[in-house]
Amino acid sequence: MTMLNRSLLIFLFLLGGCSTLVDSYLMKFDSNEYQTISNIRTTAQLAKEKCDNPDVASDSYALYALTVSFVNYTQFLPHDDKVKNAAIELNKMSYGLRDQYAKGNKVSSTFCRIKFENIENSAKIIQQAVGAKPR
Amino acid sequence: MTIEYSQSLLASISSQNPDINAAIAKVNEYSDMAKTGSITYAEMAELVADVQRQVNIQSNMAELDSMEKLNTAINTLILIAKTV
Repeated sequence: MTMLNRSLLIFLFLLGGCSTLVDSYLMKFDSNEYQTISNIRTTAQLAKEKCDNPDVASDSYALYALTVSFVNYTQFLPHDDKVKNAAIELNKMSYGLRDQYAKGNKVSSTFCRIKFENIENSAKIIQQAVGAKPR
Repeated sequence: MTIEYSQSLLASISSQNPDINAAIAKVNEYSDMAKTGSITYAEMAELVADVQRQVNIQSNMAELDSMEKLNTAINTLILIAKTV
């Protein structure tokens, strides 16, 4: 075996090792995870148009339920810590919205619109990252 | 402690990071909204808390994006090396 072949074998071995390392700490694309975050984004996107309607309170409850579902879905998935952390933050955001309606306070339409927009934008960022996971 | 004091603190921050500058702008915007009465102080507190939550989400997703790109680059290099 020539020196060049030996070097190439070592190089491939090292690359192979890195790949295994990265792959094992990066969850593959999960269509259920993608579907859940897509539903959250869509619910927020549609609800923000209804902020002048008192019925929007029910949308805030529905959105909160979806974010709880996202937290629960990701909770025990291995090598998915970044999405887990993001799911928890998104859940806090939707809880803050639902909580304003749950307290029975009059919720301003400005607050309602900004909250749904914040959740929609954050969900879009998460969706983008989840969609780019390796197949 | 007043909203004006917080806003003067925000004004003293000098950052080249566009994400930090966007966060500062949002916090200022929400503070002004509360002062003019277009949102309540409780609503302002919630929106300001969202700014931090959004920064956390962006930071986690940026790390995930880097890992994904590293993974793709390594796998591509391995594929190239195997076909040479």
